[in-house]
Amino acid sequence: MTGQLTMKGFIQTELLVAFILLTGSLTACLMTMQSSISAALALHDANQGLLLAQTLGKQLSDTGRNGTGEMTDFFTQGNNLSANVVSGTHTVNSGPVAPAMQFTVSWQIQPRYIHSGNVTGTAATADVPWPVLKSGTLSVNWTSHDGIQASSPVTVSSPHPLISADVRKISRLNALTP
Amino acid sequence: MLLLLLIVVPAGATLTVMLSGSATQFLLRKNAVVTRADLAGDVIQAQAEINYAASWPPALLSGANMVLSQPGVQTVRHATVRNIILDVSRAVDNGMLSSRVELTKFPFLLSIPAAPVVYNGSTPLLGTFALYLPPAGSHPDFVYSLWSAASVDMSVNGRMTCADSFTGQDLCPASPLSNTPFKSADIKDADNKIAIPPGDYLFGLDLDNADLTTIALLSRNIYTDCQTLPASDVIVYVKGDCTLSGNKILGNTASPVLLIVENGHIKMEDDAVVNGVVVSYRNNSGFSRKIQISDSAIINGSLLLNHPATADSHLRVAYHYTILQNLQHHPLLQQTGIVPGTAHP
Repeated sequence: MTGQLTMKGFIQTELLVAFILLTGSLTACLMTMQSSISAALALHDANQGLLLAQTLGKQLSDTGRNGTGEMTDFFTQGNNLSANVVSGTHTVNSGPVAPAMQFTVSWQIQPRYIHSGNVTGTAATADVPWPVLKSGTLSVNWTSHDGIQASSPVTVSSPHPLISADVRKISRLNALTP
Repeated sequence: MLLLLLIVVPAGATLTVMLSGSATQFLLRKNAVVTRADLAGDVIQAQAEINYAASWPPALLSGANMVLSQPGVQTVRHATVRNIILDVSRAVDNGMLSSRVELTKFPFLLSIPAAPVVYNGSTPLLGTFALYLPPAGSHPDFVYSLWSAASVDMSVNGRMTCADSFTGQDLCPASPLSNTPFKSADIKDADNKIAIPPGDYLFGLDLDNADLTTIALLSRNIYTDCQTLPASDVIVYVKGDCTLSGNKILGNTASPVLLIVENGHIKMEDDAVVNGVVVSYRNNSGFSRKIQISDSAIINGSLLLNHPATADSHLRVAYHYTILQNLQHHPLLQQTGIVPGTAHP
């Protein structure tokens, strides 16, 4: 009896193609994962930067909010200069998942005056001899994990202590008498 | 192979969708944070414009996104308190952000001095004085010539109080109140209530953990003498001796002055006049200072001191309630704050 032996299974070429497809798929999968992780980290960085900008912007804006006790702080506050916030590098360590990040904080802030009842920028003919508020922009800059430079600017506005008064003082109005 | 593709493709798609959603959420949140900061800036700007508004209710504010409503005025112990509701809004990607606060505007000078001379010190006042309570300038609620934390010795020659106007000489033939050695009820002495720093009494600075030196920042300059003082400034802060030369006039009835002299002698030469409040302030336990007001010079308003002066001092003050009230109502000496609990972000 003559019989032909039939080989079952894959031939070498099929195996090679399958292996190439498998490798390609895995590579694509890993690249996608890598890209996703990188994007997630960049988003995490951006969130940290925004949170830092929000927090520091509020701290900077709070100068003068605690009444005349902060009058000196209000008057000395200027570009990258404040008693409440330190300009320069801020390191944020957000735990074991994401590595520590460094953010650069800077701000430009100008005194604002009252002219004819409106707030404007120049002092020359101000109705009030002192600045009524200080305003500008605080920027938080960083290089995210995917290497992209990014920033998160927010507006900052610090009130003069006379426009951020402690209203409890109303109880003192002409209250102390002989 | 198919199984692998079935796993990889949905996983990638899911990750992409998740990241895309997170990025969108982040952008929305970022815009909200930026807009919220802008709103806070608008509120501060509005507070400034309301605080220094020339009239009441204030004119429209500089931003089209700001609205004022329900302006009200009330009187608290002769002081004027103004209230207003401020609404501020700004557009964001998915709608509007708005903020509502209730503001109140009230005098920075909390206390109208109750007497021509208010003395916060604990040791007896030295020197002599002539204090006047002219009927036209009297306080609406009480009549006091001198309010002192320490007891006042009226056996010292050259001390008198008078319920009449100052006539250029220390005479009071018609209506004397107290005179050596008699002390009348117009002298309120040994009163612990006034044994507080002048900054706390005038401005409530204790609530801010501040002292009177902070007021220097409201003066156009911190002067080191009184030779070249501006005639129209409402706050004048001097560090050192202050001599007002003859005929020099500071302030007027409608626009009085707050003159603070820190650690310095005060001398007013002939016919010099100060309309307003003078504070002779000893800072950091410095020496007592002279206050010498010549026969024809006068302070129309009130003098506060936190040191006993010197034995060769002579105080001459005519109380003038209208001047003091005008100082309290001065447009530059107002403050505005947010009523706690009324901020609705």
